[in-house]
Amino acid sequence: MSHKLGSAAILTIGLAASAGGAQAHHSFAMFDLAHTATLTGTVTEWQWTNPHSWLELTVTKPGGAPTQYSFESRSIYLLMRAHVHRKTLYPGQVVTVTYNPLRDGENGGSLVSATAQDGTPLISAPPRPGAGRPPGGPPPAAP
Amino acid sequence: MNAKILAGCALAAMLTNAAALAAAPEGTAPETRLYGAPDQPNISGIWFPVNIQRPAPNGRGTGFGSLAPLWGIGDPPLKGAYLKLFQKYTAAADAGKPYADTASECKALGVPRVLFGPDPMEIIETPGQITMIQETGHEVRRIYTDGRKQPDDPDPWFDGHNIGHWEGKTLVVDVVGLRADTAMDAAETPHSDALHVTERWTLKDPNDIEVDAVADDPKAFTHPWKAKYLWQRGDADYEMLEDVCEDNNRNITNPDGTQSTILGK
Repeated sequence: MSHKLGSAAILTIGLAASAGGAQAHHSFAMFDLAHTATLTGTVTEWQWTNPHSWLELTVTKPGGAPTQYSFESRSIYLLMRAHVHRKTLYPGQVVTVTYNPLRDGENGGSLVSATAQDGTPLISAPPRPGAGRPPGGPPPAAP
Repeated sequence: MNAKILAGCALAAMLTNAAALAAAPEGTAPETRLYGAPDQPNISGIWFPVNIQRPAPNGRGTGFGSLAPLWGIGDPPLKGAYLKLFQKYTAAADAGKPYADTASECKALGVPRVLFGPDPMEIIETPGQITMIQETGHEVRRIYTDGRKQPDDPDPWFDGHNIGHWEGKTLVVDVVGLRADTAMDAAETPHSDALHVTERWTLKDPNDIEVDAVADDPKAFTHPWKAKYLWQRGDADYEMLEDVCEDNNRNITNPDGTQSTILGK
């Protein structure tokens, strides 16, 4: 189908895309999209909400006091298409996250990925825009 | 025809539709539909946006000309006060303090920004009207296809006043009466209340729609601006999600018009 081929051709041209992926709700200019940071902490809340899901994480660095971090994730639709659901993360779970930090230095950022301590990927980096039809099939069963 | 026969006919029709829907493999159009002329393309159903996007001129979002590099469509043709406004927004974004807009405030995306998605859209064809329901914020467009004319002096709305007609396989939608405070795109490209958008929705095959949009704004643009958007038919079993934008909107608008993110909520 010529249209499909056309779409593929667009991809090979390699349109650059914002690191945040599809963004309709707000500008991502408050995040430092050029840098990715990593933290490990305990989930205090996984807010399965629109317009964005949010991960609240308690991080305790060696010798430091517990500190609250807030990470903005994608909309429910985009997460579902990535096989993430409302029970993927849960309070008490220890996860390692990568994120684009807030540029004002506050504790938080735009969530890129989340990984369980046994190495299981929980939330993967968003696909590059233009990747075509999102992966099909229902999300995995809740634990 | 008595009530029992009517009920029987209705049940039969429901079963026929249900069977057709159940039999439709993933990503294909159901063979039956409740409304819509037989000789017109069937665009009823769930559509997923194809998120091909380019960085906006200020590198912080999706420009209106989403396929600009391929179609040779340039940066926003802004002029005068609107160019200055865009430069102000760009400088603020570059400094990490973007301005708020009607999307960050959970009001609505508005036409033409809503053409990008990024979440699914349901199109429902009924006699004299095509209704487009965005999953994002439950935003609804009603496109009248009953032959009525645009109002002489429309009230400004986020999604404007929408009049449609078919030209072969293409649904042509004329949009006027758009509010001046919506952005053209995620780059917050401004426009005036004189914005006039013409959209051509073409069903390229049963599962692919291309939307060619032309935005003309004699107050804000030096010349009409073009863009192309792609939508693909969603999986047959996809159910539209609830999306109440005010539920967890952490982007607050500051007194100076910029937006801040609430943490630790």
